[in-house]
Amino acid sequence: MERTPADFFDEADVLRFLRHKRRHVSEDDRRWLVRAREIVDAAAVYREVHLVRPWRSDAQGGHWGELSLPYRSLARLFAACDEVIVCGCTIGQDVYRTIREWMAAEPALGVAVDATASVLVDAYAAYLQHRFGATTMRFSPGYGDVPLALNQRLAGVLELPKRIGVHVTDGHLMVPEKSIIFLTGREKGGAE
Amino acid sequence: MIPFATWCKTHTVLFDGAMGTEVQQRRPDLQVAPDACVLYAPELIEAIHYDYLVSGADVITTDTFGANGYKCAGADTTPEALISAAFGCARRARERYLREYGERPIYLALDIGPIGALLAPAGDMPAERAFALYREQVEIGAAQGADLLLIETQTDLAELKWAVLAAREYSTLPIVASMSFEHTGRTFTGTDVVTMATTLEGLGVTAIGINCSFGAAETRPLVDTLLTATRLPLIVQPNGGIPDADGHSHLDVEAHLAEMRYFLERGVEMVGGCCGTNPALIARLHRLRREVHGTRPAVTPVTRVSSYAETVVIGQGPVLIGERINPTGKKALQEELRRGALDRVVREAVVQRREGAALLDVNVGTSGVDETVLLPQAVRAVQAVAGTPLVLDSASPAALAAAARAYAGKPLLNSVNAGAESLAQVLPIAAQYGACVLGLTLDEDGIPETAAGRVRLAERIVARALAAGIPRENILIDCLTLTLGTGADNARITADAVAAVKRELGVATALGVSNISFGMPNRPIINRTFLQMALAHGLDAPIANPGDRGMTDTLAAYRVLTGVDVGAREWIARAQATVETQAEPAAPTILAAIVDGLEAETLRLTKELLTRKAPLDVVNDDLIGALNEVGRRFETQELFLPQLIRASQTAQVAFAEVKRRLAAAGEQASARGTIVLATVRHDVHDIGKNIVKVVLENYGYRIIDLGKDVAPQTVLDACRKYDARLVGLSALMTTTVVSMQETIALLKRELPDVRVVVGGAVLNEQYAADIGADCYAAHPAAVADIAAAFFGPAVK
Repeated sequence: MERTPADFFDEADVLRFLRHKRRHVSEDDRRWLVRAREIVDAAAVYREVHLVRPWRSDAQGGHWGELSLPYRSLARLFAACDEVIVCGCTIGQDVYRTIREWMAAEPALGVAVDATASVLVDAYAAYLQHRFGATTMRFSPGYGDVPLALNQRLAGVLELPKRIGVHVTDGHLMVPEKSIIFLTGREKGGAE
Repeated sequence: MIPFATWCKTHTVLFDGAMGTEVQQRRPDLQVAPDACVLYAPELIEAIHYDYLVSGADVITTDTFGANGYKCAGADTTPEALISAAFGCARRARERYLREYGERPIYLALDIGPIGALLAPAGDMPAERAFALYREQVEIGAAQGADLLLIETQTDLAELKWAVLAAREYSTLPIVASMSFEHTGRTFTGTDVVTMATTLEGLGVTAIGINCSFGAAETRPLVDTLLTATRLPLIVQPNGGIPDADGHSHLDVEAHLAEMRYFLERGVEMVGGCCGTNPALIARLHRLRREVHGTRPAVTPVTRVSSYAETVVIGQGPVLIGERINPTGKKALQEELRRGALDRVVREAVVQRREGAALLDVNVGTSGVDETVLLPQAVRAVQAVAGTPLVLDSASPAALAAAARAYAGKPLLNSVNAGAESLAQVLPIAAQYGACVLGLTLDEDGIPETAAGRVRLAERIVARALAAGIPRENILIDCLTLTLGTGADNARITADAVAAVKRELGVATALGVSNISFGMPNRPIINRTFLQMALAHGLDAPIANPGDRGMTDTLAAYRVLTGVDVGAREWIARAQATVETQAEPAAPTILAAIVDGLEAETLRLTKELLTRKAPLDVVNDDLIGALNEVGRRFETQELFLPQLIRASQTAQVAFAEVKRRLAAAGEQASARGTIVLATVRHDVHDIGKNIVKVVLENYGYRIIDLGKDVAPQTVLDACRKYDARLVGLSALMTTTVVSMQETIALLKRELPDVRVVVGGAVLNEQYAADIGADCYAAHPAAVADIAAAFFGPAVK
């Protein structure tokens, strides 16, 4: 059976965000989680855009198609890959508004909604990675030697504002908040 | 040449097709953005324009979709250079065509796409900057000889409104405005086609419509809806198929043209193409538009108010306007508004929406407040969390104008009266922003004592509004409720006036209902009975408290009885929601009540404690003790974050009761201390900061919340203004920690006695010390501990 983003949702991550470190999840705890998930699911609209291009590593980093990405972190990660997928994804603007609505009306539930949304967009990225047949981990700008500023460039290549309504701020952050840009690689034999 | 605005009234207008995908198709080797082709490959752009003209297009869209100052900032060019070159290409193509084929009307449209940044508060682009960027494009385009402005592919109604305002205020050119929708029927930011039409109708555009989005077939349901929602000319420019991830479209020409035929048969006045279309397709469309001459279905105007995402029809069944965002008689709200805080305003908006308000009245008028500044801020704050359409309420015309400008959607202005000065000042604002306006039946001589007198004033308001260019459907009348205490006939007079205004003037009515019982015993019964009476006389929009169950029950019942609530669906859902509300269990101690979030129990136990102890002892011994215990349990992980927050919020009920008791005794509890909170510059993540705020407020601190993306100087200014000596800064990203460091450095230099506590996902104890912070807080309860150590543990 085909997997969905929900299959990649890890409740343990929500609990971690909420600083829940007990082994047992009580009925009371469970009610928070279920309600928050219902709220986020009602608001979420999944959108993604991705491009697959050949990857060629070199001493400084690598080339994704014609685009030079001179970062050693990427060279290491994609050393065995002949294709790299750059993807932008989001669970939408309404999630942003919904989080704020709950933070205003019922902050206790609002934080659970926020945590759930963070985990859900990550689950969506994991689902996409699975769908792409990726053979490496996901990598987002802002880690290793890859500057966060790369978000601007990749967003331009992917046409994120036009295609999925995601923008990158002057501070290189993604808006709406629950959005991700990631790179992932595919070795020979992998297929979308 | 006949001006476009005149010509389009008698012709089906054919716009051209795609530019970007056509450039890619013809010159895949070009490694420049489509807009920059006007500089690097002008002959290509000229050739594409020429081919569209040969295909029969009446309008050439300049290659300027992204030629704005924001996008040019990162490139080696300017809007002036791009737009000038683009018009050069378009003019040359037109001249060549006219030379070769002879004279016919050909219009040049300045193409204006989205800026490319998300507007605040969701993004970081201030609305004023967006306006300035659009203004720059419009002025250059007008100077270059544009015949019209095509503002297209917009996905944010707020941004589109700023673009239209810039176009209207800095040119006299016709404006064609279109948005791009998803399969959900909404744009990325939640706007549906009816809401788009409702908002744009009053803004003086020549045509509205849909472009890009998807193919023609998928566009059909949206066009069908639009045809029933507006009388404005429509433009439809679908994609040639749906582009895949690489931008390639797969176009079924015959299927596409069949859909375009359908649009033309339904009377759509302007057609063209977007991504994936080409001159060959436009040539087929040209033949089609010569063959097919449709007629638009008749549309009956209705009174509509909208936000960016919702439209409410007034006059087709009563709808409630929530009245609680109003500082009159609310000291806590007044105090918040004086320091520019809008938390209560936002909370009331969300709660009233959930209680069933269809519209929300927003009034921030109180002494010490500059409404021209605060009302627009309140509007933006409410719109960030609630899609409910708003009623902008102020006695200040300047404030109404500022708020109407800032508002995303079509607001209702509250209010104008029949006095000469008010009519002269307020009606132009409603006309300028396409807003509905609520007319009060009073003038310089006061409120007439008879229904006939009030109807005469309503007639005056309606006549003046019509003369000002405000259509009848945008006018509402409030016949005013005078309390029964000043006249036994007051209810009947008002109700009779409502009926007469509806009958004789054909406009919708609104009415503040609760005033009828002022000074009377058993007010709720009088209120809901008067509501029933007014509804029966034709009241469309009662202004009332949606938290008053008697009022909302009456309204809901009336909607069932008059068949507005079809199948009693709303009524049944309401009854079920009531059944599901359960009574709180009892709690043995105030700590248990607070931990479990039992507000009623917390209040009961607080009252019980106050019978035995002094109010401040209750605060210091019991409430702060309970909160400290909650903090301890959170740190030892017996409680998790939602429980910590719920507990601190529940404690607020107890604090409020203590304050009430102190106030009754003529005393006042001082705040434990003032703390400035901010998410640092360039960082838009504010949830962590907001959590800290909730917790600290409930510990009794006065919080000055500066929001997100806050400049260092703003933090410094706030410390000075509020004499704050403790500052909390939040940052989520490594990159924005630099801003945090700058803020700390500025504070330390200018106010050495200020202590700074920092928090955020990327920070730790060491990192905090490295950037000069005094303390690091790993979680909200830790901030409370730091504050207690700084200010001392007790309330004095």
